[in-house]
Amino acid sequence: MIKVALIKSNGEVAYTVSPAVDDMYVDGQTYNDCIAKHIDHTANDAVVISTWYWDDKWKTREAKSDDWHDWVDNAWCFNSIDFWDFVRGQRNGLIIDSDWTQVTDSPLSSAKKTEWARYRQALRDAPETYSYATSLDAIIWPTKPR
Amino acid sequence: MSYGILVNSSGGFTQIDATYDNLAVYASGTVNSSYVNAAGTGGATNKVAFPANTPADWCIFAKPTTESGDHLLTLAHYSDGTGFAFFNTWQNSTVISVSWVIAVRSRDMPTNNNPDFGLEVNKSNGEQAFSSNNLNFRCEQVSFDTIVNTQTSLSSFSVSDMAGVYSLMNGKTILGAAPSGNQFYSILYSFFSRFEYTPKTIRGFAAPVALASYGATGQFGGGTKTNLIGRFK
Repeated sequence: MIKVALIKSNGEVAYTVSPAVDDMYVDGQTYNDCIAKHIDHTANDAVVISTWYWDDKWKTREAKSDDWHDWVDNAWCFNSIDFWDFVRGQRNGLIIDSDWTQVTDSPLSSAKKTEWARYRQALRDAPETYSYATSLDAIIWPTKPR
Repeated sequence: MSYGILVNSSGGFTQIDATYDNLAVYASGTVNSSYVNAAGTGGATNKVAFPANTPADWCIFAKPTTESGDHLLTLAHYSDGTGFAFFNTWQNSTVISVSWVIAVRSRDMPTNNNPDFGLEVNKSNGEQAFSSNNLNFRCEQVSFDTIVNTQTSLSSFSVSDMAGVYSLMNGKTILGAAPSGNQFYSILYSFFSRFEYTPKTIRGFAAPVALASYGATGQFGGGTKTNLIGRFK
């Protein structure tokens, strides 16, 4: 009985397989863009996926720490495009949620409306305010007016 | 029965016979779950490609690899038929390790050129009904749900020992749409399997999977779902 790690082009393990018969996966052969490598059948699959990578031989790495890092050239690289797309998506949701405060027939007083407008502007400014951020923890959204 | 072997349990249930196929493990493995972030702009898709020559009438079973906590999983089958992935609910980017099994009828299992000792049972037409060289499915509980309106919680299995218990994942489909919190979007719902390791239950669950354009009617339902859990031994 064998166990197989399917390796992506960047060296990461996409998934593991224990086939019913050994000849289902030939060591070193490509299957759907992944290279099959036979591994010890007692290896812990989850550990293999998170901490092993292939660079002409098996090497180990730190497990992925967050969603904003990609495995590139055998190292974790911050993906600022994905990160800021996600942040802007969250920000846009908050702005949409407060659209009702700015319509002409909003029940809010003029002062409250201005307060909400400032809140919405702070949301729009957030990517610039926190341009240094590399994690969601670093971004503090403005407090919604009551 | 002129061929094969018949094994009955003390309760009279047939465990092995020469008439019906058993469900056997064609391949099993581990993959991280996938997700699409709330903005719909990114995420991670971890696809398992079907092994070569996988029979068309497969069943996919899954469970969280680490048997603790509370996890929702749904199966996404690629429309080109090349593979599958397991998704968390919409807006939830928590990635977990998922143990998966592709199970097929024993007659469709590949020839094992290195068989171990044990027992093979063939049908009268020569097809294999059972082989102890295979990991075979042992059904533990089964139920059937009809979904109505905005019902999200389906029938629940209480499981005395959750260790190694898998849930059937295919047979799920998009249920329908309901309005989201704002006026511009609707939310698509689908079936999930919910693994709750502390109360020791596995249940069907309807939960959001994606945003859709506005136009939901405010109700979803009308779907049906078979709930099936068991172990592979």
